[in-house]
Amino acid sequence: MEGTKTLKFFVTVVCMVAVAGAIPIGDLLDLASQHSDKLHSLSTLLTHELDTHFPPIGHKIMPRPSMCHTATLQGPTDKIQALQFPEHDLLSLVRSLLQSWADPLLVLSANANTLPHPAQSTIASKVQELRDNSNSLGHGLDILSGKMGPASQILSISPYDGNADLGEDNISKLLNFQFLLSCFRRDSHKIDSFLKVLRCRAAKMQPNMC
Amino acid sequence: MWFMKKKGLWLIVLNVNNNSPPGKPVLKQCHSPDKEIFTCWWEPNAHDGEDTTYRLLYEKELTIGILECPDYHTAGKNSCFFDKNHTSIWVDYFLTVVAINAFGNTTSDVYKIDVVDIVKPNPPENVTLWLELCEDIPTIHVTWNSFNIGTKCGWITPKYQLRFKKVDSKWNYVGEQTQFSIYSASPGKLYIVQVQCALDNGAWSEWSNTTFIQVPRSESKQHIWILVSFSAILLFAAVCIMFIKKKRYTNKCCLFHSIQQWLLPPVPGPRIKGIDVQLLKNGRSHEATRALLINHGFPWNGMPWKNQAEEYLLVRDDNKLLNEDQKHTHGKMISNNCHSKPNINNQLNVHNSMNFKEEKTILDDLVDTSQSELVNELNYVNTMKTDTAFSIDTIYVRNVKPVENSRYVDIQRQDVDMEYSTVREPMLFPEKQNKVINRQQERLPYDYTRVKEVNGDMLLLQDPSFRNNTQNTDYINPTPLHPVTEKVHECAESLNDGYVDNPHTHNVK
Repeated sequence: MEGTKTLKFFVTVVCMVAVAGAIPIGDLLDLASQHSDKLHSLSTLLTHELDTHFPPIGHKIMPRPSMCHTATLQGPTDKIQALQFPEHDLLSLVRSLLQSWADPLLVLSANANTLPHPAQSTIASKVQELRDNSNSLGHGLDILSGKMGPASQILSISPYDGNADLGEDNISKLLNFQFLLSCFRRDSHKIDSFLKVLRCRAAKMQPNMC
Repeated sequence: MWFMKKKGLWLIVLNVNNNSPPGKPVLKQCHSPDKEIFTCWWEPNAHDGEDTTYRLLYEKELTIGILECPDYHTAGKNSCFFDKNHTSIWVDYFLTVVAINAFGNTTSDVYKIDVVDIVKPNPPENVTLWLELCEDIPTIHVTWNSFNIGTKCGWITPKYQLRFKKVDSKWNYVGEQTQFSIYSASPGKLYIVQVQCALDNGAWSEWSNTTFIQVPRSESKQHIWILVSFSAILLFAAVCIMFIKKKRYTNKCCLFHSIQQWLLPPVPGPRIKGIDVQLLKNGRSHEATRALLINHGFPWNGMPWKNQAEEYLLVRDDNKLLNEDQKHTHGKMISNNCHSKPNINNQLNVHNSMNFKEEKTILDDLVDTSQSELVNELNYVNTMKTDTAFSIDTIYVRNVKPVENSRYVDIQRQDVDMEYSTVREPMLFPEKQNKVINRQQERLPYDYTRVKEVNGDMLLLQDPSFRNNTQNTDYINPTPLHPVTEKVHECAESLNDGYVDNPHTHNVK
């Protein structure tokens, strides 16, 4: 929690300074990468927390309503593609992904408060952290896209059309919660990877940053 | 099924292959070392015959059609290797293995993976330890082959964890660095180091192979030890010789006492100039105090301080009230306003936190109870302490001299759970002081205390933790005493017009 607040404060400071154009893009990307790394590790922890008392879906097929709602947002699916993707498009994709999760995170948060799970309180607090971190990252990316030009500011948000109430009985609630969380985990990893690729590209002068 | 008899043993061989399809294979695990390729392994059924073949078929999310494993051989038997061209991340793979023989085929359960979830790197290679000796302080440096990040260019973010230990001790874990140094390694010890890595907040690899390094013994340290032991032996010999010599001439008992006296000189008892203990014992406290007043010109007309629960108690560690050869003791106080450094000569450890009742008990124990008058006056003094702020034995106007060789000792008593000093030689003040106090209290502002006379020698020791109170008789808010300090001259300037400021207000009028 403190880390998020510190990062938030830092981002605010960065924002003010960045307006004056004082902070180079490389540093902004570095900051954003730290945020996204934290976001990904939080979602991983949350998944583990959920799995402690719930048999992991793991490698079994489970009947799920649909694919992740962000599946329509096409992007690179391997390293070569990622390294060749244009910067503006990459940033635009990252922002779109993040923005597409604004509403579903609310759904996760609301359901976390009444989740039928032994570690419910831990899960609820982690989901809250997730939301805070996500907001901070969003602010940072807005600043970044402002500096990188209009092409990176194109947003294509994939709407979430699932139910706010994740299920009628406990089992389906848990299953849907787990599925939504796994989708988020994947997208947070995408965001993290793309930002790190961008960071490395921006830091070509400093290969040790990569 | 057919039976075979060989050397008395019956062997029953089941020839399943003759009749039935193969058993169900099981996909065991898949791993990706670097997010660019991955491998999967399966386990065939135990009863499968030699002629069973296996095929791995899979489907990809967002792709139509069933695909087959591109490489069955690179990763060994019963495995499938997916190279860069066939590896996509952030998409689900649905894998199945089919076992086929002449009689049919059997399909395993579907195994779903996402490559990013199965990342587990290989342990770091080429872990190297090298020793650096800098002025006989050994330092171990650890390096290893790190991921060549330049070519990866942000695609993976490795982090490393290292652990090391001396032989026969516990592992020390150190996290998230790309190189490591063990400073001040113990000479003569064997160190073991292992490194592991993880990618992208994923799973940790196995620990690398253990690497050893032996730190050589420090020669200079050996020399020092020899020197130390030699000098210890010399010292011991000298002491023994001294002991034996003395023993010839003196009694053992006296020798012991003389050593004791040399090591631990006796604590001189406190003594107040002008107070004759015999007078006190006889109960003529008034005469005793009068003598004191006459001799030293105590400013007892006025009320010295208000709101000072400073208690300054003199202590002896033997049962006598006074000893003839005691030296003078003086209480000293220094105003807190002075930012002078106190030269703490005599340490006093007194807590006034005992309540009135307990103090009375103590007094009863120590003072002859037949001296009821004395006791009463002591009690009176204690009650006045809280607001009148004159401490026993503490207010000196003139001739304050530093005390030499006097010490104050705490007497611990079991029945009171705190440190305090026992009152041995209380200084008693005439009762008429109380009226003066009352009158003065009305006039004085809350925070100020008044002294009758101030000269350069006068010092005040104020307890910063003291709190104001208005009660005359209640014993409130006992506060610990400051240690006694030597006089410091520059404090005199802070005292004016007979007012001494309370440490809390820091106002000096």
